[in-house]
Amino acid sequence: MAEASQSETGFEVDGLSPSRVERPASADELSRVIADANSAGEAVIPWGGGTRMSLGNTPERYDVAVDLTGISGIVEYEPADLTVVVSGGTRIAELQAVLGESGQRLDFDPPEPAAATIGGSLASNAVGPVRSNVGGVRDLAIGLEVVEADGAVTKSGGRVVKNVQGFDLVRLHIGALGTLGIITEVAFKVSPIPADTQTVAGWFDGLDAARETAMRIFNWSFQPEALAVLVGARALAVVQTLAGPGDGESEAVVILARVSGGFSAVRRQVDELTSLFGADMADGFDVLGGQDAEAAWAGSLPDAQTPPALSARATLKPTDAFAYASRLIGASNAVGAFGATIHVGTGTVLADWPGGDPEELAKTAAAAAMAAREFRCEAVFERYPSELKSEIDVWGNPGPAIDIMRRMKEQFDPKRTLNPGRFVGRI
Amino acid sequence: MTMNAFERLLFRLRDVVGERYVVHRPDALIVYEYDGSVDKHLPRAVVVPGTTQELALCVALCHEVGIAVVPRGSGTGLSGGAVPTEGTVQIVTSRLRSIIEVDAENRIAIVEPGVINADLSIAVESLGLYYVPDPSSQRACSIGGNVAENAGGPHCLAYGVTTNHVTGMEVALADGSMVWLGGEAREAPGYDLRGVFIGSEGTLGIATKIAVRLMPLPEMIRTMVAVFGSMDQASKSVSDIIAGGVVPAALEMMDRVTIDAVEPTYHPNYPAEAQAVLIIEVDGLRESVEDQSAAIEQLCRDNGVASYESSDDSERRAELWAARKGAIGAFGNLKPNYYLVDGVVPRTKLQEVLAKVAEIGAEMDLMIANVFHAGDGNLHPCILFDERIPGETERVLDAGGQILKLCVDAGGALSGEHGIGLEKQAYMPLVFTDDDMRSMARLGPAFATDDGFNPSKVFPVGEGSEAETGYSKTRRAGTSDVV
Ligand SMILES: Cc1cc2nc3c(=O)[nH]c(=O)nc-3n(C[C@H](O)[C@H](O)[C@H](O)COP(=O)(O)OP(=O)(O)OC[C@H]3O[C@@H](n4cnc5c(N)ncnc54)[C@H](O)[C@@H]3O)c2cc1C
Repeated sequence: MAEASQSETGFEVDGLSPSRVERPASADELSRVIADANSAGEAVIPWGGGTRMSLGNTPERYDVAVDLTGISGIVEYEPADLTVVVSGGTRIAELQAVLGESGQRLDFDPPEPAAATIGGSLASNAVGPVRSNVGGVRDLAIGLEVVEADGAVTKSGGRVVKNVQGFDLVRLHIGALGTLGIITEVAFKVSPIPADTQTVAGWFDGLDAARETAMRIFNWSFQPEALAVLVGARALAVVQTLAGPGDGESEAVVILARVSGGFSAVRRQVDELTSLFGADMADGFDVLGGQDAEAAWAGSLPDAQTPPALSARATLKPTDAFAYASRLIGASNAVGAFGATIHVGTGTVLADWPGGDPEELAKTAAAAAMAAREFRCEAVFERYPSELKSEIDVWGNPGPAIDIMRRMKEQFDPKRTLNPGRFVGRI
Repeated sequence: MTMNAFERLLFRLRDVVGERYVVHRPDALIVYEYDGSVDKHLPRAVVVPGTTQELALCVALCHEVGIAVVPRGSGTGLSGGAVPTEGTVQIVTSRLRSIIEVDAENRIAIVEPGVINADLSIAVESLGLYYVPDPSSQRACSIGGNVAENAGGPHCLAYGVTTNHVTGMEVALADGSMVWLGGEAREAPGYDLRGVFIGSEGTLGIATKIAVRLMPLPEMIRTMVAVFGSMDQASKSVSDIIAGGVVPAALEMMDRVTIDAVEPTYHPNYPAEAQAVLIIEVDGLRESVEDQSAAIEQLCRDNGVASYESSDDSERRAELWAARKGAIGAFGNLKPNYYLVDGVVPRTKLQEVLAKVAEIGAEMDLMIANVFHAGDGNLHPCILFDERIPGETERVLDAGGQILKLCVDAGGALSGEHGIGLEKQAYMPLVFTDDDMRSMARLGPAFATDDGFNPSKVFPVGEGSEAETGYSKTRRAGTSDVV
């Protein structure tokens, strides 16, 4: 049976603590926990690896923390089918290790894979650089099992790579922050690990120069498996490692392109990239070996050890993503070091500000939100100074579709048991 | 509602779209009573709006008087999605065919729902772009219909189906209001209502504008045709290719019956011993095309391929594809009717399930042709028959049900791309519990449809009260008090 303990620490969300923590070991146990909480009118916050708990508005209520890491493991894996079924509490690194033994991988590499769980990463719609040109994790999940607010265990989708049977609730739950159900099992399509992978880095003076080159790569007939443009502090760190300390202007912008496939195809892509960087007069470029490549890609994500005080995520048309990023640079003068990564393929811009006076950060955030709106898009503040969080909706303004979203919540969780107040529009 | 009230509705609809675009004479309605499936039913009236605003107004007018609406694109659907149910008004998108915007640099297009799938790719070809999802019906089906069914196609193996290529859509809701779900950008905060709408089979609203991603045309395309002396060898080759980590752009299979059907029309001249044909395509960089095609050829040879041809020439490639693309139409060479069963199995189970499908055909004395998206395990057994023979349609549907059970028992799915509609609603409980379906049925109230779009489809009808199941179990008439 799930063990419950009184007043545990370590499960704080925005300064609030639960009155108890539940640790179910199966979907059935979770079902009982949730059904009980639901009938008692308690509010539940599901916990995976805890790497993205800063996401969301301040909870409206918080009674029960549910630690989902006990619902873990590979349920079914058929390498020859390129599909895997995995429990929601499984750590991403653990899944990748199992797939790796068969020469396969899930094309999903968000930060902190050793801690982050599959369920939590899906619920919070985490992103990583890989396959940012093709699609996010939404496009890899083919089936889902969730525990709903009344304790019902339901599934949607299937276990085969292609299925349209009934409505696509898989996509409904991905990115829903667990407000409609708690993800307990996921079926994914996986891919073979490519024979060869190389990263080419090019650095430029200013965003405009980099933009042109990056857009040219985006429009090539072949697509790197990851294409990121690093701005501000992120770029500087990479340039200084590659070109030596003291090098690199504060205006430096880095393009990282990772290509993969068979050896001859990779060689060709590396050649194309280096000659493009040469012709476009990058300040410098380099083909990165294993460790350097890893370090550079790690530098494209926020550092897990020293999480930023403010971070904003926005997804725009690729050209708008560059324009928005340059607005962010302008808006960041007051708070110093600022870094951003543009995933060119998806148009997602991840920007963060390491620290500073909360009031100044809030002003910067407001400027970022305004900048995003110029491009008819909303910035989501994945991190925000907690003392000021209750003053804003960190998800921005979802527009008229919010009516449908509210009714959706009402349908799935009428007593508002799951994560009340944390999602868009304080759903 | 009395007949008078219905006439008042027709009057108001005519006011919106013009006299000639409201069809209600029974003889004129007949063309709208069916789609590509076996079900048929006359709509009460058909409206063909000329603008998206007109369309939304028509939806609102019907909703006001409690008449449910059935959206229709090109009517090529294979699960009865566009077939009207009792008392409904059909709204057809065939006049909404403009490509509103193409943003070549960002590789995005916005189209009206009636745009024909192939027309979009043709329109952007000169920009070096194309729209990936390519149902075999692509010269006829609409992008709105593709969205509603989450359509796939031969080239969806490597690049994904409709939901992977549509970033958002403007939708007319039951009350006639219009709202964007998603947009031109790849994601938006909040629930992924875009993802939910795609594949909802016209039950939540009508897509009035659709934003899609376009892809750069590949540098090189190579088509290969591998002919085998047995189905087993061909299925094993498919499983080996996938297991070997090569995911071609397309991997299609045709069996002996299909070969017989296409031979007189397309003259592909397959060798006499041909029992199965694989049509395989790889695309991308020249180097990866060479690598992949070499690996594929080797696997086919290991499995005893009888003949093997490959071509990079666009004209020859079109010829190699012709028999596959025209296969379903060519079944008319063998029997007047076909019933296409769309099911999915894990790719490691192809051999086993295909053999059992053949057994069902033999036991029931039915001719079954297989032409399908083998690479993703998406079977399309086509049962060929003559509907004029009394009782034949029932036997065929019965065999179809048995095939679906086979797929589900093998760990597969009820549909890979054609949807549930009327055709498969009775089979939903094979895969889903009442709880699962109750959960899906919450989308209707969330979209405030009042059961006003495509009622009584997708979920099983007939048993249990609505209160128990959460979804309508009776074929709901648009009006209950028709005089
Ligand atoms: C020979 C042949 C080959 C085929 N090959 C394939 C294939 O390879 N892959 C594949 O996936 N399918 C295939 N199909 C099936 C069919 O073509 C697809 O399902 C297609 O997406 C249907 O489009 P349509 O415009 O004809 O839609 P319709 O048949 O008119 O309607 C289909 C559904 O969409 C709804 N709908 C239509 N327009 C809208 C809208 N604007 N908003 C909301 N709902 C709407 C309807 O209510 C209905 O439920 C094939 C069919 C045929 C006849």
